[in-house]
Amino acid sequence: MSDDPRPVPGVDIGDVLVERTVPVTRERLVRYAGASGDFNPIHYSDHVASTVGLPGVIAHGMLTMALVGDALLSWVDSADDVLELGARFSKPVLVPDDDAGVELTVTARVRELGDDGTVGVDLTASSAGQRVLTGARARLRAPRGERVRDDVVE
Amino acid sequence: MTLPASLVGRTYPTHVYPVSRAKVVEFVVALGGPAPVESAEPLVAPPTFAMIPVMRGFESLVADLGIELARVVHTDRSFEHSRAIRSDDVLHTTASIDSHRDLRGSALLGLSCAIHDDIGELVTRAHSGLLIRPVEHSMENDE
Repeated sequence: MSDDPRPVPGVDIGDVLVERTVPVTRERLVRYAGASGDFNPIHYSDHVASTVGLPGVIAHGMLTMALVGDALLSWVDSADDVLELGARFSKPVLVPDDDAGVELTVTARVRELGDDGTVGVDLTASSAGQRVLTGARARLRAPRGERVRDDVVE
Repeated sequence: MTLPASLVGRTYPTHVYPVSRAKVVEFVVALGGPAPVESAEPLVAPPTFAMIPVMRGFESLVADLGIELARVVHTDRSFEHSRAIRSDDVLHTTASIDSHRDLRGSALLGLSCAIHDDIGELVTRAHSGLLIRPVEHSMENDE
């Protein structure tokens, strides 16, 4: 065992691994409600949302996190390589009832390189010019370079 | 929201959730991804799929505490994964209450869930923060 941190080939602190903008529409909220089983009405009913003091229908915090997680999958080899993922939902993502919805922009930037070959990343998610997550972080296993991927049939 | 003070440490019965291929496909498509190709191999679920057994694990908690779902907002969530969930997994989820405090009339609960597979190996540990708004809350007294 060496005391030196194992370098992760091709990855430096500060690198942006992922940057992606996705639309969040009412349709996506309904699909996510069905898929996740989270049928809290504040994610589809304006009437209920206003009754509990919200300015309108908001996205599931977990949908935002799921979209961040999905973006991370574009960098790692497999979902097995997402070792940790967490965030605080600091601002609601308001989703208007129109065709365009609202845009969510996700970034993942390298914070630290672990001596076990893992990569710590800081995550951001922004909507309507506001950060909607705070303290959002993940720990990932770096892609294994030249290795033939499991999903590639030789 | 008045909840009993003795909540911390309460653990709920283990919930068993058999994952299905159809559910994993539905989850992937809901996030805007393409439907996974047909294959004999189990599908690997996205990293936040663990949300499903976590929410199922909360159902008995929400019922136990008499919480109205519309008054619940997630404040934070984190996952530590030993491995990804697969479409042939049977997941055993145990939820417990780690913390409870009052925040300007709302209840703030810290919950943890341990998700094990059918042979007892740990798959995921999840932490969730839930804010339960009081019934009298409205936009007018928000400021």
